[in-house]
Amino acid sequence: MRIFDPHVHMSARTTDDYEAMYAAGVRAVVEPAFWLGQPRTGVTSFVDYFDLITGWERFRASQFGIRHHATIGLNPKEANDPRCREVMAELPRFLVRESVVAIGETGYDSMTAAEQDVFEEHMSLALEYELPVLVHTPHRDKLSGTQRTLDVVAASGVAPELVVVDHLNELTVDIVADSGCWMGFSIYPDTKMDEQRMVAILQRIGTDRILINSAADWGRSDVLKTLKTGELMLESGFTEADVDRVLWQNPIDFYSQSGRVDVTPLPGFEAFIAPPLFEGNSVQRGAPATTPDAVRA
Amino acid sequence: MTAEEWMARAREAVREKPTAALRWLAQAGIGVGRDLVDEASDPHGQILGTTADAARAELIAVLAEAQTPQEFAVSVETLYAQGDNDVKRGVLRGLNLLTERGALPDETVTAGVALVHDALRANDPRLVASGMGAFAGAHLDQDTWRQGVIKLVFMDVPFSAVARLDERRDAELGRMARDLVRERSSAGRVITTDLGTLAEPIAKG
Repeated sequence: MRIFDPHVHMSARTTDDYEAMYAAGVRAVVEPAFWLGQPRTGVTSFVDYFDLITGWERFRASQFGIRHHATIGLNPKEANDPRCREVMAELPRFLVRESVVAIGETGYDSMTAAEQDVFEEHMSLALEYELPVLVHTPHRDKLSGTQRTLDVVAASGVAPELVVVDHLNELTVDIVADSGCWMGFSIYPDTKMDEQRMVAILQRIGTDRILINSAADWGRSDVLKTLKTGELMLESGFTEADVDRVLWQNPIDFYSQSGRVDVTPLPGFEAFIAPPLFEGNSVQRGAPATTPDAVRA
Repeated sequence: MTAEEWMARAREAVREKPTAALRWLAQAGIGVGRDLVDEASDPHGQILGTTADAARAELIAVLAEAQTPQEFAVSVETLYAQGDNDVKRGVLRGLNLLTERGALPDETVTAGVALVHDALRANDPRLVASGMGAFAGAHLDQDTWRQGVIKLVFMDVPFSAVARLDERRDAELGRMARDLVRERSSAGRVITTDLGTLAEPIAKG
């Protein structure tokens, strides 16, 4: 099984996690900018953090055979602090970086006027820098927040296929599916979604435009939830090709709209994991360029 | 667009509007690719780097031609401060390239030395390696330069990254290397060929 985790906060995780992820088949991740748990009090704190997730963390991941990308934005929780909002002026120099594959996380937390303004500013930046957008939906008042999120997206001029609306559940997935946006699901040990509920949603609506992530951070979370969801999909009758579509190809298709995704094997790593076969056909022309990996699931 | 076409556009854009150089340096990897210059001898791109590294260095050289020494010093400081590690490395490689091409103005040397100091504090081996190239070989003070050499040992970067090593190595660097050999031997760790060679007495030539 080859896995691209489209939303994981690796700077909050350990090198043991990287090793476990590699062993599980994870070869690429996207690390969205988010809050630290401790509220920031100024711009320099953001700038150093953005440098971290586009610099040191990218390098650290590479040491474990994993391609690391980032999204950049002022998260909705901190959009309410005027001291933090000043970082909006600093975003452009980060948005030109090759490691940055989307804008985000943006969206609503408490649905304040300040959050609305900042969210709209992010959507304008997405148009200007031709980048996809990762939109976080509020944990409180989720259905109404998701609807308002879609209204902002629709009014922004950014095409829905360039937007992923994340942290969805059974109650919010359908309106996002109808909007044309991508649908993101965070699989957590005890909040948001779990594997069983995720598989049930996949059985109901299929695998198109679906992104499944661990959203692992400094809270109770599990970087291997992507793998566990893939395993449960197989047990529930999905094919290997379905799993590959959801856990590998979909994240690539979504983030590649930035023109900046790199999933080539890192030097020194046996990164080859055989793509699944479709009725015995790998859809490859000729033999693979590298030898199969012991990691192959 | 081919790599050559992208590069021609980038050169022209940087010449026309030097203050817009960041965007071109930032996206050189997309423009010309990130292929290793020599995968066999430099599998991690620490020494010869990638096609993007070469493109960025060349754009820095274009910038040097397009600006006065004072303006260029501000440009390299700004690009280094605002860029990611790829751009930072491009700035350092550009300074190495300019050093190889001839004498540098004082303003460039002053700005560049400060950037090399920053690079040598970093934990990215490719950045440290770029910081120990021709520019540092010509302009970095001896104490900082020695620390840079030893730091490369810790980062497993081969000494081929170090410009003018034979010319600049001295008794003090030899002592540092021998201490490190002792420390690693007592810990049962591997002594690399580079470190072993550095620990040997300097041949009187």
